[in-house]
Amino acid sequence: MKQIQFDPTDTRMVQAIRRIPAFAPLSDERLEEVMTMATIRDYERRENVINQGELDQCMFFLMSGKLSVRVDDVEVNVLSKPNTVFGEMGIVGAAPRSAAVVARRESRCLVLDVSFFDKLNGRARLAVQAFFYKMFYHILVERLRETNKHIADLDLQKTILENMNID
Amino acid sequence: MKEFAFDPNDEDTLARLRKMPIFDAMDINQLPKVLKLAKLRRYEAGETIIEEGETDQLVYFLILGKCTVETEGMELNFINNLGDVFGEMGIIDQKPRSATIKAEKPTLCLALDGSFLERLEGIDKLAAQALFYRIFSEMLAARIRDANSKILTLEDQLEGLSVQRPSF
Repeated sequence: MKQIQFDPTDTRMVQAIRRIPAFAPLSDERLEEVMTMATIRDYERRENVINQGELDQCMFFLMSGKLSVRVDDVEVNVLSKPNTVFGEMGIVGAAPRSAAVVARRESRCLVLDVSFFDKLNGRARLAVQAFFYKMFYHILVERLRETNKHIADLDLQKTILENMNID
Repeated sequence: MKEFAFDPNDEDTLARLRKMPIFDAMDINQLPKVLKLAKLRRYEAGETIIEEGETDQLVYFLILGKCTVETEGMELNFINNLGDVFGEMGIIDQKPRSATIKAEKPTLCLALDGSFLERLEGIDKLAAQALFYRIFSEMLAARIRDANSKILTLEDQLEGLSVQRPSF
């Protein structure tokens, strides 16, 4: 994995960030503050982005590539849509990573280390926290809706299977 | 259902609210200003608090009592802890309610319009937003973890069921 510190004077990098819808509401000045905690990471094929069971305070935005989400080495999801957010659960309520994320091919991610909150002070800290927690909240609401839909779907399948007659 | 405004001199209710992480973390001077936007609602046993399919934007905090959560007539869960929050997805958008919530016993809730975070005045809006969104996010994250383990259990059960059946 190669890591590049985010450079606010690099126009191409700034534009790439600007394409992530979650950051659209941020002023240029605020974005710069946020980006002091951002790194860009390039992963080789088969490299681990997140290790199951680990604790960290990072969230990820997929910029390019394709990732496999794996629980106990079984693929449960594939991420390939640019700007997809993942790993946000690690930020709220420190719990070990429940899944691993592995690069299926060369991939690039923007990584935000939220432990940086502690480095900010006063108004800037509140503003960045308010923005981030609002963003998480929106992401998590969507996530919960998807999860509930999945449960309802599995429940239905279970009912059907249970009611099937064996002749 | 009876609805009344929050009385800032109601020490008993205030003390109960203070036991909720979300209100406990709030500055003592700010709490009354948030509560000015809130309504207290009292429900009799059997009354519906949230109706599946409806669109409204209220967020509820349980102060006293017990509620059931059901979808399509199937009981899914209980809400019975002080400070339990429900209906909080109303903050985000106006999608129809995905479940019905009913009072099982006489129940007292604090209800806030989902837009309250944008309507706060005379207090530190940023501080309040940072706090509310953080606590709501933590709550959702816990629910997602529960839901994810439920998915794993269901998948295991499904696998078990399908090996029992002959394949067609």
